[in-house]
Amino acid sequence: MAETEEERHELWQIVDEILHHRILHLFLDKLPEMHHDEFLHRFHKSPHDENLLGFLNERIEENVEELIKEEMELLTSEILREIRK
Amino acid sequence: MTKSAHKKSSKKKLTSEEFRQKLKLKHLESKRKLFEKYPKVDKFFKDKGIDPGKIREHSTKILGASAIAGALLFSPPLTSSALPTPQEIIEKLKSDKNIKIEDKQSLLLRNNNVNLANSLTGLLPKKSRPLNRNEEKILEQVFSQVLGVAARASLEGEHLNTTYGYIGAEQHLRRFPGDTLLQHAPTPKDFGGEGQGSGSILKEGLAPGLGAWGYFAPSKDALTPKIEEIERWYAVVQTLYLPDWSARQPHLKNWYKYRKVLIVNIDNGNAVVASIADSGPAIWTGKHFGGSPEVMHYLGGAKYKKGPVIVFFVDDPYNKVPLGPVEYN
Repeated sequence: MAETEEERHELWQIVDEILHHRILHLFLDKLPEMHHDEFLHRFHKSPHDENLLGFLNERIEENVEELIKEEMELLTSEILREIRK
Repeated sequence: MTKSAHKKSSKKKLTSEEFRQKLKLKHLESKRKLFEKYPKVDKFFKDKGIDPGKIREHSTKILGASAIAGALLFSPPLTSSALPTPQEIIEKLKSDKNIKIEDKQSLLLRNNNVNLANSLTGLLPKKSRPLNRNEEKILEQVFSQVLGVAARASLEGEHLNTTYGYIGAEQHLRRFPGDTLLQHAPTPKDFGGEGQGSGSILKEGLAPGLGAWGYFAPSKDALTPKIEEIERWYAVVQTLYLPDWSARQPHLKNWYKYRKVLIVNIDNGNAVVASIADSGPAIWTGKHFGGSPEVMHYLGGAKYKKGPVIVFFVDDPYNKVPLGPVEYN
């Protein structure tokens, strides 16, 4: 679909940003509100820290990795639907 | 023509611009929903001057700053006291008893690989992360003297976001218009062609899209053995996440095209020289590099799908280093 590498890069970047919004939304929905501030501070301080997953898993009843996977699948299907419209 | 076929053929193909517009709408919608439901999150990120969608860039900056600070403040004393010198590692590899007593070359190679893997395991942090300059310098010397390959973490001022991370299995890439999976079947003289599992080489399939640099050749007639080798031994690196990727075009795109890299499996010491032919994988996969079916098969066997590796650029100004397995003793 993208004709140049720049176009492809830009499309990926938009998808990437959507993904971050959606995953952040998901975490906040699932995480009890009393932990929101601590999560946001940790997330801002080191977004790459793998311990963040541990932090979330301890405070969210469901399996966080599974939730992320489901959200990703949902987003993928939504984007594919947009393409096929 | 049947109704459905007619419908299919008359359906307008979505252009890149139309797709971009649709994605942009989705982007705005996801952002609006997030901030409408959680206004304090909006305020939090505004106060910090960050867009949560661009958290990756923020993360890259933090990691870059930490690596520089780490290299300046902590690395020299740590390296000199805790890590063996390159010469010590090389001497250890040379003097290992297993290497001396074994006659069969294959066993010798395997033992040597294991020794290299053991040394790398001792040298590297348990969890993959961007290495500091001192760690990379040690590895450069080890690779040069043990593998005989001049490999550099930084070459001509270029450096990947990380040189130590996870590699994942990729599919075959289309080399020319009309290329099919079966045309990638290895011949007996190729890797995987004789008794090494040609089935596993084809099993990965053909990628639906093209590599980041498009077709390798304009037609089948233009395909040369050299091009076949490039696709056979191709690597994928995350050029799309380089912080200056967009700002330094077209230089970076040309610089990375088919750039040779040395990939070393730190679990078993297997090493391969590959050429960069695609951009990826996406960061959420948890992987940092990708390898063609042949690369992955050589690094870890038919079932190898993901594992920790070191990836350095090969310093090969005269194009003398062949692509493919690096066998050493």
